[in-house]
Amino acid sequence: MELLRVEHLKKYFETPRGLLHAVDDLSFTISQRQTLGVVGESGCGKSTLGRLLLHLIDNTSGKIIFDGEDISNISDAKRRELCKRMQMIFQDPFASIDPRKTVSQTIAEPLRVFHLGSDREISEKVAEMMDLVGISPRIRNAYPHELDGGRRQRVGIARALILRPEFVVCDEPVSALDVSIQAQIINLMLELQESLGLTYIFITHDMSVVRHVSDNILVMYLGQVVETANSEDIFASPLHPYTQALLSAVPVPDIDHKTERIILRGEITSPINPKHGCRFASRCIYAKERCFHEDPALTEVTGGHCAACHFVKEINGL
Amino acid sequence: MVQTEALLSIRDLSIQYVTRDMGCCRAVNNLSLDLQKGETLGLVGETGAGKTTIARGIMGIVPNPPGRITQGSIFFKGEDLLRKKKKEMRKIRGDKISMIFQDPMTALNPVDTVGEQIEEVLKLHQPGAGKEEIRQKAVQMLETVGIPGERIDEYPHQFSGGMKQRIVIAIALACSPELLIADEPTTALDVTIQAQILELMNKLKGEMNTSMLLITHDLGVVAEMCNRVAIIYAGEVVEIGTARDIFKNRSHPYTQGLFNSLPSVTGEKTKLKPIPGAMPDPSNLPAGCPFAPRCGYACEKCMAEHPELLPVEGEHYVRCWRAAEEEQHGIAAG
Amino acid sequence: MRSKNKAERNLEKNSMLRETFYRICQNKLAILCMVIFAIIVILVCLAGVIAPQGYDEQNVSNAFKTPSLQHIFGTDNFGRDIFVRVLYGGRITLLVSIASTMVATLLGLLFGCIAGYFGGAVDNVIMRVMDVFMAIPNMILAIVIATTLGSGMVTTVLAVAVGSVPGFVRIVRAPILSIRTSEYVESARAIGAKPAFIIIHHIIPNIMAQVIVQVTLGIANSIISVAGLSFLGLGVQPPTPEWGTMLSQARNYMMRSMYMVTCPGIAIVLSVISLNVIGDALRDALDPRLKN
Repeated sequence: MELLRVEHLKKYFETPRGLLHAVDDLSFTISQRQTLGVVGESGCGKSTLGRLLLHLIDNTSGKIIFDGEDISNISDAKRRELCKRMQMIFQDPFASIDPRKTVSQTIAEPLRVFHLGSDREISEKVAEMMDLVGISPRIRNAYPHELDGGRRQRVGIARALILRPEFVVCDEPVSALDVSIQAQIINLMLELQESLGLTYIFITHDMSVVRHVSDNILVMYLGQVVETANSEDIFASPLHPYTQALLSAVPVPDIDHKTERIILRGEITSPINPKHGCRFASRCIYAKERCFHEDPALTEVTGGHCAACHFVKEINGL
Repeated sequence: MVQTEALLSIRDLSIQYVTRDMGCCRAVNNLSLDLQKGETLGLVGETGAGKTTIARGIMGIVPNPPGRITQGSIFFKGEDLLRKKKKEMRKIRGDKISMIFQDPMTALNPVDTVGEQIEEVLKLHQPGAGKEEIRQKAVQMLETVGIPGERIDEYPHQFSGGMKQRIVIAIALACSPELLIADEPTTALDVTIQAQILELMNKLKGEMNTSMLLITHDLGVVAEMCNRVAIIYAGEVVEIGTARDIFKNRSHPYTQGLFNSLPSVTGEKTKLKPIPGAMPDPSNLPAGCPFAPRCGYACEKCMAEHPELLPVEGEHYVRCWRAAEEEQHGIAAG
Repeated sequence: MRSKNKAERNLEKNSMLRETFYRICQNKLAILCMVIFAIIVILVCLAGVIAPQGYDEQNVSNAFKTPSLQHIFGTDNFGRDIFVRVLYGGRITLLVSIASTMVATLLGLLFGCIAGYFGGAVDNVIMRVMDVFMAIPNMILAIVIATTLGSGMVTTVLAVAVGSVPGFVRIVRAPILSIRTSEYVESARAIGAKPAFIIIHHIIPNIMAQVIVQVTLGIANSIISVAGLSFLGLGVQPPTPEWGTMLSQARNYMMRSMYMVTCPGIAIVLSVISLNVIGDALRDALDPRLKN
């Protein structure tokens, strides 16, 4: 069942040099209990997208439909109500927790904001939540600076989930963590998704992480979707030249693994006042005349696998 | 480890940070390493393992206070760097040994043009050279790292992140150093840019016959770049060997744990097997093996006695009681 | 060694307050100044106990006495005990300065938080008004207010407070600009918190350090302003003793008795210097850049 639908979502920021097209005409849907992975490099607008969905920033145009209700232009009071159903897990566990609040205060805060329960009930719920995310009750009164990255991120997750939301935007939740800790947190998030029936939108730049957690994947480049499909298809047969380059660039931890690496040349197009044409064209090895002045549309190439490239068929020999 | 003519050999190095807040933090403990000429040695470890401190120790830039090298020696071409005077070290830094830092955004001085910054190193270490000569060399360095020479008079903010890291590399390689220390050179970059930089570093290293100490947490980067790999945990080498030893025949439970924690882009999608727990507090290291509290195989001996770095096979060494014993049995049985 | 480290860490596990306290304790000058200021405050508070007879017991035959056991600072032109008057005067001076600093702090926090958190037009309006106040020298502003509203204690509090509000607004606003964009504030918005909640629970606790420093330095400044106003005859009126008023009266007898001038003068100087040193020490102790 569809939980969230986004139609032609746009967010432009005004900068001294012109309009920055951070998110430019995005459309997608997420079904309940599924994970949509959003991958892209820095500056592709993936974090802006997460904040738009939660209304932490206002969109320029487009629609966000959550559980059948258009939430793209809601009042601030309505937005706060919606926070009970939509939550966010932040990237940097060092920055997203108030340094002057203890672990239990941080986790309890959402309940206090909505005045949900007496002090006793709140502390019971906090204890339950801490147990769920694997934080020892011993550290309930510790301050964030006394915790390592993994524990802090667990606190961030507990805080996001204590209101029992259905939909969680995860903005690079494991990027700041070491690999061994990263695996702990990924497993925890997958377990919680299973047991609490969560729907995730998982924003990351890490291809191997996104493959591991996602059902469907959206590849973004400079504010636009260049390719979308289910997770297996993207990794097995990437269609868009950018996705292909991105995948081939990921260093594989195996000395016998030899891939034809596609090294991208050329400069990245500026997202400020972009001209017509494919935004990847300046770095694309297949770029032709047409790519520089005509916008490619996101079209379905094979069953459910869409790419935004004029020459997708030719490139992939389809 | 065999005593050959190593370019760099570190013996029993210990570095501590003493602060009021943390007490005595033992960042590097009795570390020994050898780096041969022309080879790339990867130092792999997680945050707080002491990788960057090792690099700073070699460069002679451990911030003091609070940092202090408590024991050991660092031989570079047979000479102990720790016994050198400040002035002598300044001559070596940037000329014979140079370093690439993690964040290209902060490694360049924003008020000088990139040309001036490359020329600066050259002027410092080649006092005899004329102005024209130095400028030509700077242009040539820029072109070597793939930046058009006419951009020499531009300022750092006019370049993208990947370009800045190229400039940092140009500065580091300007004097054709014999040893290049790269501290997480691509961590701050996007993957597609990382691929470009790694390719460039491999190419230049080959051309200049520079030895490299590559510090990273990314095993993928190691697989791509390194001949030999040392796994660092809590300030000591827990496993060291050729890249093949480490990737195909890993022996230390921590190394195995690291590999099992990695989600992969290729192959089967399996459940990740993380290492439980977290890195020990360097100001309060356990008495026995520092990894024992997180180790699935730990026995009483591991908790009580600190393991030695013992040979597994050839150049492959591991600091683990169990792995070493197993190897012994293996040899005995075989 | 190891057990000692553990003990050390447990000690500071609890709070930043304790850490700050520890840091201040290492600053010997700051300790000295705290002791001096504490003595001043205690003596001033105990004025009624030390001198139950009050501050205006006159004895003209006893005028211009040099210090003795009976009158440790000597007596003034009316034969009143200068020490007693300095004590009672301190009550007024300190009370008025602290009150005016508190008023300024509250106003500063209010406007600073609003300007910093909401930004945009609100910020612009508030900051431009503050600029106008900043453009007029504090003392002149205070004189204008004091002459318009007539002299008296409440007026003095207001007159001095208004001048220092812009300083507080700036001190409060600057860090908020960066805290506002921090992830933990965004995270508070994501859990549905209202602006007032965020300001009270996340922003104010995080700027408290700077505010405390500014309050300490602000009191020192206020002491000077209050004394200055009274010296000019616009503050607290005689016969109520106040350090500034006392100085002003003593001016006429400077040649006959140095004690009438020096004693309230020293009281002012000691309070102001010690508060300034304490403020600086607090700033050093609370400065996160000095951490580690």
